[in-house]
Amino acid sequence: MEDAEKRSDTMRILLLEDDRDTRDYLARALKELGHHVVSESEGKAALAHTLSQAFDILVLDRMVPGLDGLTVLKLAREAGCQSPAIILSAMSGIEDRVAGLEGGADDYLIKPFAFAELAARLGALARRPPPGERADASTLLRVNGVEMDLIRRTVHRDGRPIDLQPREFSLLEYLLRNPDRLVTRTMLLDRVWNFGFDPKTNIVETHMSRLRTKLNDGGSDNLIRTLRGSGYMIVTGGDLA
Amino acid sequence: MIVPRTIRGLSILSAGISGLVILVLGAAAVFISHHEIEAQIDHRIEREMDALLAYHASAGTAALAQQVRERDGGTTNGTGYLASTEGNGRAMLYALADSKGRRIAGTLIPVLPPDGWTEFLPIRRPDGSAGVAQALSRRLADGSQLVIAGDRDALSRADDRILIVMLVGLGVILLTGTVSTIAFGRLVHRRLVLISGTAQGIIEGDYTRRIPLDGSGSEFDRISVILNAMLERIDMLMRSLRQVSSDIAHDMRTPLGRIRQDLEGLMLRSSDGETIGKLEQSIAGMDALLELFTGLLGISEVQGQAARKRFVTLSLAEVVRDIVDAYRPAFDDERRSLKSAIENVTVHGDEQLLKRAIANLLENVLAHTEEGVGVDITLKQNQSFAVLTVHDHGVGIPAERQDGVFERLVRLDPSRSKPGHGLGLSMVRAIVQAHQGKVDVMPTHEGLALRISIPAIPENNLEQ
Repeated sequence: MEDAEKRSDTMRILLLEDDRDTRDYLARALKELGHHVVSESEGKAALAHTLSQAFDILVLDRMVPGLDGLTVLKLAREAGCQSPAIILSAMSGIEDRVAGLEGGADDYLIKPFAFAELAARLGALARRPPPGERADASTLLRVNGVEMDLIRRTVHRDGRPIDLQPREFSLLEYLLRNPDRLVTRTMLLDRVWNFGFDPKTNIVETHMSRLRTKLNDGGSDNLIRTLRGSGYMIVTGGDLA
Repeated sequence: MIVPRTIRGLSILSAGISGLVILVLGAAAVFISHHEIEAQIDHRIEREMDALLAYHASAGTAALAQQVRERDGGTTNGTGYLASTEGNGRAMLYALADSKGRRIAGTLIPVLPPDGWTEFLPIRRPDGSAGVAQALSRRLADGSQLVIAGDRDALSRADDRILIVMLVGLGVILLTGTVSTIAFGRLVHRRLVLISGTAQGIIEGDYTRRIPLDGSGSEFDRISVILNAMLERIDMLMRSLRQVSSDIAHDMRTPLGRIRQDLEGLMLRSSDGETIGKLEQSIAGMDALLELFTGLLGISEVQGQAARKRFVTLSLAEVVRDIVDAYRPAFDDERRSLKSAIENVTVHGDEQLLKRAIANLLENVLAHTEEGVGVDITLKQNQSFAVLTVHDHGVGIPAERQDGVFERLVRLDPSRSKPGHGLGLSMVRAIVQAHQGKVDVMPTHEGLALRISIPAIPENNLEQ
C-alpha cells in the first residue's frame, strides 16, 4: 500500500479511437507514463484484441466506424472480459452518459478533455478491485500519519483526533484510497458528491480548504497538494509542500 | 343561443327536441280527435232531436213521452270512433217536461238544462254511475221541453288513450336518448382514452407510441390515422434533431479536441511562463465555449423529456439537503447566510436533474447578488405539490423584467460582462417542466424569490 513506486505501475491499455491525431497523441502520452498501449482505429479489431489478450483497462471511443465503442464493450463483456472500461465520447448529452454507464462502462469522459483528467481516471479505475472481490476489506486507511477508521468513522492525524463533516470524511477517504495519484475536481464531484454535472461554483475547493484546515490544525504539514488546473493529490513520501 | 359543445350536452339537447316534438304532436292529436268526437256526439243528438220533433208533430205529446221513456239510457248506432266503442260510454239520455217545467218522462237527467246546447250536464247512467253529458234542449210547439243528452265518457276515454300513447312515446324517446347518450359517451371515451394514453406516452418521451386503430373505418379511426401520421412526423423530426445534435457534437468536438491536444502539447513543452499563461487562457476560453454549447444542447435534451423514462421515486428533501451541504462552504466564504427549512417530500423524478436544478438556483444567487447577501431555502408539501422556494435578500429584479429570467441567454446585466451564459434558469425551467412542474418568480418585498412546484407523491402511496 505504501509503496511509493506504485504510481509508475505499468498498465496494459487497449485504446480504440478512430481519429488518427487523437489516437497518436493519447497513445504517446500514455506510453510516456510508462503504460503499454495497444491502439486500434476500428471496432472489430479492438474486439478481437479483448478476446485474445488481457488488458488492465479499456479506453474506447464511442463513435467509431463499424462497431462503435459501446458495442465493442458489450460484446467483450459478454465474452467474459472484466477489465474496467472508460468510454470517450463527443456525445455530451445526459442520456448519452447514462447509456454509456448502463452499457457496462465504468466511467464516461466527454471530449475534448484534458489528458491529466483521463490519466487520473485511468489510475482510479485500475485501482478499483474487480467486481466480486472487495480487496479493500481493510477497515483502516493509513497514509503519512493520517489514520481513518472506516467502521468507527474516525480520523486521527499523528494520534490527534480530527472531527470531520460526513462529506469531508468521504472526500478524505477518496484521497486516501488513491495516494500519490492525481485526483481531479470532476472525479471528486462525481464520486464524493455524485454530481453528474460541473457546477460553476468550486464546490470541491471550498470543502477541500476546510478539510485541509482541520488536518493541518496544530501546525502539521500540508498533506493534500493542489496541482494547479488539474486537481489534488495526497502524498505518501516526505516531500510535503 | 348557447350551443352545447360536449357529447352529453348535444345528446340532451337532441332528446329534448324530440320530446318537445312528441308533446306538440300529441297535443295536436288530442285537440283534433277531441273536436271530431264532440262533433259526432252533437251530430247524433241533432239527428235524434229532428226525428223526435217530427214524431211529436205527427203523434202528439203522449206518444213522445212513451218514446222518451223507452229510449232514455239506451244506445244508438254511432258513427266513426263512437261506432267502435261497442256501446260503452255512449249512452243517450232523454227527458220531457211540460210548459211549467214538470217532468213528464225520462229519469236519468236530474236537472233540466236551459234551452240550447249545454256542454257539461251532470247525468246518471243506467248502471247508476254519475257522468257528464252534452245536451240539447228544445221547446215544443205547446211549450213543453225536450232534452236529449249524449254521454261524454267516450270522449274523455279517447283523450286518455291518446295522452297515454303520447306519454309512452315521450318516455321511450327520453329513455333511448339517455341510453344512447351513455353508449355514445362510452364509445367516445374508450377511443379518447386510447388517444390520450398515446399522447401521454409521447409527453413522457416515448416517441414510438401510436394510436391503435380498430379497423372500423369510423371517424375515430380516420382521425387516429391522421394523428399517427403527425406523430410519425414528430418522431422523425426528433430523431433528426438528435442526429444533427450528435453530428454537430462529433464534428465540432473532434476538431476542438485536436486543438486542445495541440495546445496542451505546446504547454507541456514550453518553459516560457507568458506563453504557458496564454495557452492556459486559450484552453479555458475553448472550454467556456464548449460549456455554452453543451448547456444549450442540454436544455434541448431535457425539453425532449427522454429522461422521464428513468424517473424513480426519490426523496426531494435529501436532494435539497445534499445541495445545501455542498454549497454551504461557498456561502460561508462570502459571509452569506444559508438557511434551510426542509420538510420530507417525495417526488417522481431524476436525482441528477433535480440536483442540477437546485444547484443552479443557488449558483444564480452567488452569481447575481453581492457578497454577504443571504438566502433562505424552504421545501414544503403544499397539497399535492412539492414546493421549493429559494429566496435571496439581494436587490431583486424589476417586475417588468421578471418574465425574461427563464429564457435562454437572457442576462439582466446589459453589458453581459459577468461570467455565465444565462442558461442556468432556463435549465431549471426545462428540468422542472420535465417533472411536470412549474417555476415562477414569487412576489416579495425584498430580493428575488424563485419557486419550484413539482407534483409530490402522497405519503400514503409510499408503502410498497
